[in-house]
Amino acid sequence: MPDSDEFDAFYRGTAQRLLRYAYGLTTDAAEAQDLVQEAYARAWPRWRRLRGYGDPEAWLRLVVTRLATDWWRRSKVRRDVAAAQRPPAPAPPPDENVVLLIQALRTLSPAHRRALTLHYLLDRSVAQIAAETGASEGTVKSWLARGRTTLAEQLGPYLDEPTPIGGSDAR
Amino acid sequence: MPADLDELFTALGTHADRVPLAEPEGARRHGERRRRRHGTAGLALVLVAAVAAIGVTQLADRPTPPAGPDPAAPFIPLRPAGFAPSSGDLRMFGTVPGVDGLTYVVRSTTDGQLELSLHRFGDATVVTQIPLADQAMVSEVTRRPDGTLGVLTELPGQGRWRFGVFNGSGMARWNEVDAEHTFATGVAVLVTSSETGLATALDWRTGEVIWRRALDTTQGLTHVYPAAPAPPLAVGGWGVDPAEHRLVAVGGDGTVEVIDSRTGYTQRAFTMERPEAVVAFGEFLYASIDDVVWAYPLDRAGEPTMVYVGSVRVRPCGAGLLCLAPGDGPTLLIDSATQRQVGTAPIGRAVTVVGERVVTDDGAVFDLSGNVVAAAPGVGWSWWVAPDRVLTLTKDTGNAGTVVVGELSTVDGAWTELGRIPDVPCVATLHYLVCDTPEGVQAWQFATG
Repeated sequence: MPDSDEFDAFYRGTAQRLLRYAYGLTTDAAEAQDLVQEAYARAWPRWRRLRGYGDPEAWLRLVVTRLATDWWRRSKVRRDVAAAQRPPAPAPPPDENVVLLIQALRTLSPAHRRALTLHYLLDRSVAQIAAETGASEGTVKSWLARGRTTLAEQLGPYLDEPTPIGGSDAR
Repeated sequence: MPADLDELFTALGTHADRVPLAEPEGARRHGERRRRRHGTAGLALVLVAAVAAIGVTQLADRPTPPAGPDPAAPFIPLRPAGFAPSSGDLRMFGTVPGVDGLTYVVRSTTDGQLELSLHRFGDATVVTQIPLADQAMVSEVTRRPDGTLGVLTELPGQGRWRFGVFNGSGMARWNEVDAEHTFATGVAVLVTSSETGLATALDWRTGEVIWRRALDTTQGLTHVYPAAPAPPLAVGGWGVDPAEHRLVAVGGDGTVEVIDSRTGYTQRAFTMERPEAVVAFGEFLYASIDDVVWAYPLDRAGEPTMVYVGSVRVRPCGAGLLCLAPGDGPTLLIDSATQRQVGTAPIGRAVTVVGERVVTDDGAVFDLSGNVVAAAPGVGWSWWVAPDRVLTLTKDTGNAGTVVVGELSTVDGAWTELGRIPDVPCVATLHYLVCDTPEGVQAWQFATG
């Protein structure tokens, strides 16, 4: 299979998941689109090496993570992506619940937001998050617990019951 | 409408799934543009000296810093130093420009004497200082109008010598030599020419050519970069021989040649993708390629190791240690033997690591976890004067034009003021500060022994 066909198949099989991740990190749909495009643009020149990795998606998530946490680079990414290709269609407007959650997510630290995104949007376990972030499982549990607590404080009246706090991985 | 977190995140995920994505060929096109852009803007040819810090140490064998000075002993205040003929072995060397247009060569010997020599460089431009290890030293590379490269040596009995830079027609053309990147390998001064594509190793004592070879100029040799030696190699930051006598030449197309610095012969060669930046340190060549730092082994064939994902500045910063500074977070300390992180350092500050202590260039001391141990008051400049002591110079905020000189212990974090000097350019040796004041060159002694 030609490299481009293989890459395209990988893209179609993984891009939506990566977009979920980027959206959870940035809480901005347009920005998430840009970061995902940039990550795959960086993946393509090194596709032959990447495809031999055990988890090339993890490499892409790392790129997105770095880009998402660096404001200067995000600005450059926007310009580069805009210059390189026709932008995709704009995202549909979110509903009220999504808006509330996005606003609450923006109050979290990058580490907490990343952990909650991996957990809730990509169904990663504590062990998987620990392996991907290089943190201990205890630290990951702490991130999740504190993140949930902060979200509960922010969302308060919009939640129908208190979110359990603590270190267990309930999912 | 009330919901629980699970429902909210599910809604977020569903919304994210409705965000449209571009087609994959768009990503491939973008990737091709990135690759082409980095190729034209990247390095042409880089010659890098692979340097090992003195004794690459494993974490378990990290030496304990020697005991600091007795806290109960009175500190040695800063006091004016006289000049005396040197009698012991040369240990430290520096230069300071004089207000009279002269350049002063400063030598400090093991018996604590200071010698100040005067050299007139009025008709030449000082390009760089090249300190060598131990007793060897080269003062400066000077660029003369007649197209010669001058190197001043100051050992007893050694005179000045000059190296004429010639192109193939025999004409001396100064601009051929990228002297900013001329450096010493311990026995030689290495000079490269961007026009001739030649690399020449000169005996630092006599200026004789030890070896000369052509480098691949298909990608345009432009610069020679010595790998920054891991400070403090010896206290004061002297250069040392490259590790295993290795120089590394990196072409703009990613070709790499590992060269024996003693003979100029190629030891091995391989290819990598076009790098944006490279640092050779110890057994590896660290290359930043598309915001990923890779470690390529220099002593054997093998696949590179991914060290870090992200845009970082990579530089050696301690014995066997690399500093990766991302710019938006703490600096990571990486053991160059294992490529594993062993500590962190404060964000955005240049650091040097000795033992368990991280010292910033403005005189603050941290432990390997990034916790503050001590800080000299104010913001200034620091200089290692002993394995356990750092000399700090900080501006006196209450008295403009004055600098406070202090001594910071990296063991117990104690900072002691030694005295005050004018806010002028200075160079430090192990025991002296030599400064270019409006009244002329002056020296102060701050320690004995």
